Amino acid sequence: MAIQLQNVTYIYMEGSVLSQAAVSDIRLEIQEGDFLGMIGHTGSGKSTLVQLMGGLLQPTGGRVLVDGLDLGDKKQRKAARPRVGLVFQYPEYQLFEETVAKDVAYGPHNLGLAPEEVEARVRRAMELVGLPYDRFGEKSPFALSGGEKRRAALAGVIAMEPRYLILDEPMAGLDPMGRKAILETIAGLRQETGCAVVMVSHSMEDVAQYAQRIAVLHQGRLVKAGAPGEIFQEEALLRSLGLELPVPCRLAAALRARGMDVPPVYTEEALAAFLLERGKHV
Amino acid sequence: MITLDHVSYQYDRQDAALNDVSLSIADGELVAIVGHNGSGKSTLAKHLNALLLPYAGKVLVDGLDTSDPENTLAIRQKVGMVFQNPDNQLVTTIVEEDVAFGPENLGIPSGEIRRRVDEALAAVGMEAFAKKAPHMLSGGQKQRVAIAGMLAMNPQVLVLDEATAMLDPQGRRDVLEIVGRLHKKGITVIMITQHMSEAALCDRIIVLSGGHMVLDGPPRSVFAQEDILRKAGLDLPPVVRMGALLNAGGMSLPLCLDVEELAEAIWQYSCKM
Repeated sequence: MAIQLQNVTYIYMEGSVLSQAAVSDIRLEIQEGDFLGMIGHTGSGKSTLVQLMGGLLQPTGGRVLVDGLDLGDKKQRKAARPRVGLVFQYPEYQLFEETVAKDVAYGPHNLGLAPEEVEARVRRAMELVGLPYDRFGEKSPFALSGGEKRRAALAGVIAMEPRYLILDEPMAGLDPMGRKAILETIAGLRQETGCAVVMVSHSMEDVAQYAQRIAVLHQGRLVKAGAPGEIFQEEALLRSLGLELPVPCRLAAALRARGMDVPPVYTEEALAAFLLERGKHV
Repeated sequence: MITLDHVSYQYDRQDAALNDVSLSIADGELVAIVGHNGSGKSTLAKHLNALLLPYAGKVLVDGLDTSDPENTLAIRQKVGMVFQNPDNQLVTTIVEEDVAFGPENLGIPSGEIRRRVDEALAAVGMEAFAKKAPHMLSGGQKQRVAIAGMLAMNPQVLVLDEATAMLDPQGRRDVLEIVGRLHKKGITVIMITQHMSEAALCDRIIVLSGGHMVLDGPPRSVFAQEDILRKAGLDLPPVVRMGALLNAGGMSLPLCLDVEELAEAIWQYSCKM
C-alpha cells in the first residue's frame, strides 16, 4: 500500500504561450507509515505535487496511484479521496461552522457515516490535537487563538481518518509553542494510527527532527530523495539550491573545519551526545 | 524617539491586549519585539503610528502625542509600517506606481517623486522590476516593493509587523539584509517577529506575554532567561538552544548567537580539556 508517483509531469496552461511545467517526471513512492519531508524553494513544485497527490490536479503526464487506485480515473479517484487528507497553508481560513465540533464533523458527515460514528471520530480527533471535546466542542472556531484554530482545522482532516496525511507548511505563522504543538500532534497521530505523513516545510530543523525520508525539489524536478543523513551530507548541493542546512549540520561542519572529527549528524540531540561523549574521553 | 508611557489597550469586551507597557526606543535602534500569538505585539506595533490609540497612557513620536488627531499625518510620515501579507499592501498595477503612491499623496513635486522612487527601489534591489506588475512577483519581492513604498516616504522609523512570516527562506534572507542596510543608514527599525533567530540579529529584544512586557535587553541577556522565555511561550533560537544543551550536559560555554561563534567556543573548550 502506497502513494506512487510514476513519472508525473504537470504543465500549467498546457498548449498556450504561457504554458509552464510545474513538475517534471517525478518518481516517488510514499509507503504506508512513512514520514516524508518535502523541501525546496518557492516555485520548486512542492504545492503542485501536494495537489496532485490529493487528486485535485490531474497529471499532464505519468500517473498518480493511491493504494493502486489511479487518480486520473474519475471513479478510482473518488474511491481514493478519503484515503488522502490534505492540509493546506493557513487551513484555519477554511473554518466556517458555528462550533468547533460541527466544523470537525463536516468531513466525516459528508462521508455518509452514522451520527454515532461521526461523533466518536470528532471526539478522537479533537482529543488528538489537544482541544478536548468537552471544553472546546461548543466554542465558536472564531473565538479560538491562532494556534488553536490551526489545530481545529487539522482535527477536521484527522477526523476523516486518512491513510496518508499531506500537509503544506503546517506551522507557518505560528509561535514557537504553537509550532511544537502541531508537530507533536502530527507525530502522535502517525504513531497512534500508523498513517503516513508528507510534510512540506521551510524549516530544515523541523524536517531534520521528524522526517524519516526527505525529498528535495528544485524547479519542478526531484533532485534527491533519501534518509535525512544522506540528504544533509549533500551540503554543496543544498547550498547551490539556496537551501539552508539545519544548525546542527552547520555547527558540525564548522567544527570539522577546525580539525575535529565529527560524524555526520543532523539533530541537536545527536550532535550534543557526540560532543559530550567525546569530552569524557579526551 | 518613540516613547510609550503606561500604555494599555483593549479590543471590544476582551482582556487587555496591552497592559501598562512603558518603554522608549531611541533613534537608530534595531529592535525586535517578540511574543506568542496574542501576546500584544501587533497591537503594540499599531500604536507606533497611530493606527491604534491607547486606551490609557500615552504614545509619543518625537514628542508628538498620537492621540491628538492634528499629529496623525506627521506621525505617519515619520513611522512607516510593513505588514505580514504581501498581497494586501500593493495597490496599483505597476511596481513603480505603487512605490510612488505614498509620496504622490503627500503632494510632492513629480521630479522629487521620480528621484525618491528610483532611490527606494534601488535600496531594496528591485530597480529591474520598476515596470513590472506586482502580481507577477514572488512574496519576497512583493515585500521588498512594500518596503520601497515606505522608504519613498522618507520615514525615520520602519516597523515590520511579521513582514517575513509568509516568506520562504530566500525571501526572508533578502528582507533581513535590507533591514541591516537601512539600520546602517541610520533608520530606526522595529521588527515584530516570531522567529527567535531573526530577533538574535537585533541590538535589543523586547518580549511581550499576555499584554505585558516581560523582558527588555540585548539578545545575550534576553536569551539567558530561558525560563521566562518558555513561560512566555517562546523558544531559544537553534544556536542558543544547542549551546544550552551542551551546558546542561556539563560543558561551560558562553552564550553564543551564531554558528561560527559557538563552533569556536566548543573548539576552545575542548582544547582546554
